[in-house]
Amino acid sequence: MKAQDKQHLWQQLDGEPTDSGRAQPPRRATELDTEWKTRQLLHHSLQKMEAEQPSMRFVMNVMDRLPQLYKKITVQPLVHPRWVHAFLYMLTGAGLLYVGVVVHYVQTAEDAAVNLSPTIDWLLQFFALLPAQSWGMMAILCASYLFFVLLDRHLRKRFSKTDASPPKENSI
Amino acid sequence: MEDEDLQMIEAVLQGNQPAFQQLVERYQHFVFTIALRIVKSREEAEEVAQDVFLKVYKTLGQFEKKSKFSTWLYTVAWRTSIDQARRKQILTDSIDDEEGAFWQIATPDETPLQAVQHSDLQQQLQQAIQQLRPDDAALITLYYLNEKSVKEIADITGLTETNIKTKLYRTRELLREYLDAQLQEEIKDML
Repeated sequence: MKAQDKQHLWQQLDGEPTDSGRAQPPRRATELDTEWKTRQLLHHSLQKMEAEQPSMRFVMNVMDRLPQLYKKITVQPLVHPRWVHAFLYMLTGAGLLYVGVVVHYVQTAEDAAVNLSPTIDWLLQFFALLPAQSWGMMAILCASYLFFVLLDRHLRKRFSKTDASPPKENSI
Repeated sequence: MEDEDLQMIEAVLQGNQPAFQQLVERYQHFVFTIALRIVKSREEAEEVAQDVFLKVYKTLGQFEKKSKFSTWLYTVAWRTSIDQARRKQILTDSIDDEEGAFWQIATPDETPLQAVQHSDLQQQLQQAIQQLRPDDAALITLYYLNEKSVKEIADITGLTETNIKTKLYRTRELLREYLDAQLQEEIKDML
């Protein structure tokens, strides 16, 4: 039998010419041929071959030899979430109060008899005492605080995902 | 399976060391078999397989997920085993020089007696593979046991696809000739 024919038989068994996969080699006319059947038998036997079993303690031996390379990074927020929530509630409250004062002022101003309630009057006077620079300072502080809170959240998410940057897998 | 592997790798990288145990349990048989085919001794194969998992653990952060984890793992297994074989200068005789072994054949529709014979055939086949050259034995293992494609085997071994196809053809022909030589009349009866 020619080498080319032998190679062709193996290709048939591997399922290469038909793309039907090597698990089910195509049946053909030469199936009855001894050459074909011998190879088919060998092919099936190799497919049924089982993996060798290592010793029972293999896994434990590996685990015992592992160094502690990857440590869990414990990430804690810079600011306790309770303070963040308190700040956000305060900010929301102040915003609502401000809107309320403005709306109330507009409504009462439209009325002929302008009569602001003492509390609102006091608040307006209090706010009037503060110069514009103070408001600006407060706005900057609030914005900075918010920025750091958001930055903290972003970094916490990022570093809790991976602690080792993967360079190249071909370096082994 | 690949997704589970990736999840376990992520867990290991985050400090969950027991997750690596699952990877070892999943792949220990395949890695050990590849090592055994190449270094030919069970004790050494066990040492090599342990070293493979240690190397993989230490360099797990370098796994870029471009290929399957199993392909990367078998690449490490192949290289470590070949290095060990070279260090020990493992020389093996070709199976056609071996005498005394015999093959028994079973057909797909086998009787209980034939089933017993078939299990003998598997043992004989294992022995025959053990007598092959280390790299040829490992190629047969990767192709059949690990069901790797020729392209994946090329990635693992660093050989060209043409080279692998040629080696597979020659090795299988060698096994077949051995089968013919050992069985002679028996094979004719079975076929």
